[in-house]
Amino acid sequence: MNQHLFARAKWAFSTRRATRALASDLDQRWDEVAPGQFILGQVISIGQHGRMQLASGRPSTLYPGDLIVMPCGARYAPDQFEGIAEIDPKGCDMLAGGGCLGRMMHRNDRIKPPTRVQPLGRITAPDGQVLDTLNFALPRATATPSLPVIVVLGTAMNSGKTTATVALSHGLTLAGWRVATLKGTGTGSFGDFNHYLDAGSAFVADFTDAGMVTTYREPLARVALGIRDVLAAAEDAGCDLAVMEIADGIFQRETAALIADPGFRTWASGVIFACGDAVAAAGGVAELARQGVHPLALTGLLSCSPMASAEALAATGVPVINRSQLLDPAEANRFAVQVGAQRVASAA
Amino acid sequence: MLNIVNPEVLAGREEPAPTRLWVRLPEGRLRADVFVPANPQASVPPLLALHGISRAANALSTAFAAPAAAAGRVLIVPRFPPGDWPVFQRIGGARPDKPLLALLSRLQAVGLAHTRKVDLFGFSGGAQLAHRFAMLYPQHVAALHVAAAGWYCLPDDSVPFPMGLRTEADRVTPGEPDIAGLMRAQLSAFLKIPLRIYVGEDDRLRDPALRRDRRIDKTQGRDRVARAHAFAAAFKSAAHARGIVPTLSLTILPGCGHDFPQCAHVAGLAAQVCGFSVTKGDDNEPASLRPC
Repeated sequence: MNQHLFARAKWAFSTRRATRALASDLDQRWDEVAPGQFILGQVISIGQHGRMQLASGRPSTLYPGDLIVMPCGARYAPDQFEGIAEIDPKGCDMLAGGGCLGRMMHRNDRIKPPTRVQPLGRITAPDGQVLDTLNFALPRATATPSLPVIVVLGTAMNSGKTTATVALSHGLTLAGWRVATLKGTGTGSFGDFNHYLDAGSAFVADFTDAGMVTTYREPLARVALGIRDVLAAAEDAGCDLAVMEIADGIFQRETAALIADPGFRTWASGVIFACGDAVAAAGGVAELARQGVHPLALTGLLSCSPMASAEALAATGVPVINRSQLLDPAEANRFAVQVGAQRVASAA
Repeated sequence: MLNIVNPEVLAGREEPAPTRLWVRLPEGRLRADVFVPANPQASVPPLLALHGISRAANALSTAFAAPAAAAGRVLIVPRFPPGDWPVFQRIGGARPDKPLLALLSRLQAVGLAHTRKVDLFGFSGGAQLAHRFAMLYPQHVAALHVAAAGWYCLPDDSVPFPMGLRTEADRVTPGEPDIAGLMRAQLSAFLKIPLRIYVGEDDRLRDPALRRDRRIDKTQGRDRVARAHAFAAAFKSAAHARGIVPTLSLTILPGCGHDFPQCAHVAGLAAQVCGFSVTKGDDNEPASLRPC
């Protein structure tokens, strides 16, 4: 009886792996809600997010009354919201346009209150199980991937990580490598995902493909397993190497835990650090060094300024590389050799 | 960026008709004729053959088409239009590497050839570009064949770029890549590429096309034969210094001067180049040479 509701609803990008035909019924056991579970909701009022990102990869303007399907999840975005994975039956918050419903805890002063959504129910399969991003995840990796990984870290949101990730992926692709471009942490969104595809990468995936709508407040072990799963999928796809963006800054909880984890230094073959100025570069390089991580290069907004770049080089001894250099196949190829990339013989 | 136009049939040939492609990049255009044999052998890398400053790509096609077809090998013969590429032999201010990469990428994408690794041949100015390309992108090159290069970029960081790999800070333009530094980063991988050097035994004239420069004379010798020996010696020395056993040969082509058709007809250069292929495999597998 709910099929027409599911058919009418706008399914968010973070549900892109779901088999919609499994959506059968709704339940309202809100006290049992968990991160990743699919929620059917109805838009009450438009706030910060006037549009949502559809599973098909295009944005959709939202109107009060729209039916939407988004997973429940937490969000950590210093320039927007911090929120947790809780659904208030009286009304919940759209924490991310890519598809994340929860309860807002904090809001950046410069943005509007969240778009409000009336939850109608958790979506269940014919067997009564609640549909969850985890149901549709990539298969669990059975072996530790050996793919070389260039990890892109940064000081914060908007420090230039995505620009660097995309440019390096494109430069490496031009140099003839089969590149996997991956996002290891963050909140599901098609913005970065589509930029990665546009770079010509042979394989693109993020933590949503590993079953998480967001990595915020997820245990380190689960985040690490998700990273392993997407790397294994990239390896299965015949990629020679991966470029992986890690969301937010190195002090963000999950990012900090990931870097501090001894396992990080086994799978991260090299690090590029994006930052905005020389002081941030010095602080970031020092903090990473404390964890035994030494970046191959600095990039980001810093690299737009020759003077700031010179200051950063003098302060850290780490070379600064800008977007146009990352796009250059010869420059990008240097990173491939630094992380020990090898041609995969079987790749077409 | 790249168009495929109607195949051109070279009259009177038994070899497959080439498919002609154009690569168009902001840096300039590149034309290429691609010969796909009737029975391409997946285990044999395509052969990418680069012309010299006379830009006689047709001479390369003529010489290589039959032996390449007989070996089941895809033959790729680019031509750099002079208007777009007054200089294509060196990588630096001009970037002939970019259209070559784009060409290989597109051939792979359209399924004409498996170009993730190619055997790379160049004659004269083409040999200059060939070895410099291999120094920047060693992962793309299964075997390197350089014939009668006028001079070389030696794999030696005591010799200043572009004769060697030492970066001279005052010669690096801000915003431009430090090509010597990038080549140094790839040096170990480059030195693992099987290298075949060829030069005519009579190619000793200091003709107008030969780069005459006191620094090159001093570090590489006064003619192409001496310079080929200098390159071989530098390659061997650099490999040994890194614990790499080089796979290297230098072949003197009897009765030949600086003339590609002569080298092909008199000394069988094209057949020699097609006579070896590196077995397809991972980069970390030792290169094995076998007739194709």
